[in-house]
Amino acid sequence: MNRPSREKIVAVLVAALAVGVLVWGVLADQIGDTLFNATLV
Amino acid sequence: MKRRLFQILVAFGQNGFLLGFMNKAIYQGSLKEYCTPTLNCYACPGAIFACPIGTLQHFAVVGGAIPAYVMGYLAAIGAVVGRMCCGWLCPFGFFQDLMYKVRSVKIAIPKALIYAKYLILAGLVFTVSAITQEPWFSKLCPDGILIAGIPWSLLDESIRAMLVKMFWIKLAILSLFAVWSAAAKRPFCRTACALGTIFSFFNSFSVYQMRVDHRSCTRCDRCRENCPMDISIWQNERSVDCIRCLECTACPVVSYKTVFENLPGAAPAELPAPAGVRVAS
Repeated sequence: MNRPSREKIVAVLVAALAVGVLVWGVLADQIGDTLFNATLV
Repeated sequence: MKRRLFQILVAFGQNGFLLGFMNKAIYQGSLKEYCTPTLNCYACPGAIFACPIGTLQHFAVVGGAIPAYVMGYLAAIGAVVGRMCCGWLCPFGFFQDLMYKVRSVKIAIPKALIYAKYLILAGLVFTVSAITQEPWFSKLCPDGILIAGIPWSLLDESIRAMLVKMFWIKLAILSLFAVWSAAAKRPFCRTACALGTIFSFFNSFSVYQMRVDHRSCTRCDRCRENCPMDISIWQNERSVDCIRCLECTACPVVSYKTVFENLPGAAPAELPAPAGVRVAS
């Protein structure tokens, strides 16, 4: 039996949104902006 | 067995900067700019990566910016495998799994406490940290005292001399969860872990999903006996507490598949023919 197509669409949308947010963070130069680096300064 | 191996390799691997233990100095290399997908205190002498919850709190404390990188990173993992990192990679989850093997009275965790983790995520990680300008989850985190506080106090006499009240409070929290872990399955993951709570939001929408062939399931509940989170997977395949450890897949009716695959055992062509019925080849 095939899975409901809604399930597939939601999974793809959520994954795409997550990758989009990740790319946004990378472009915003947030890599390295961690609690560890904050406590060093 | 494969999961145990993973847990051991990751626990020691992401805290494998041996020079930190020898030189009594925290690793400050470029890998520390990246987060692990598990709770792992950056202050452990051997820690190679940063902690994602610490990073989220850093943004809450500093304010003014959305932590897109760490949120996207956690969401991308959660969107594919849900809460699987908790089951396979988390050192503190591994610690609790080991503690549960201690022979003791076994108890269930009251249902009301299961909801405390949402309060801890919203309250302690974000709200209290933003108001007080202090990362309070990290300050109280039992994983922090286990892999950073205790090793440092053993390694360095000068640190031992500086131990303040907070150290003993954290030690009391760790002791509570250690004793509780011997009696109940993964109490920290189920009641207090902010990171597991974030991953749990994705259990319903992830690409990989737990699946039960309900037509073959006898509801014997052996899956719950094997489950480190005390879940009957046949009752709720999308449980937010499921850490996708796959212990329940020892039962042939339970599987872990992508949403693009057919439902297990449901394809008529794959079903065994009833006794006495010949199948044309």
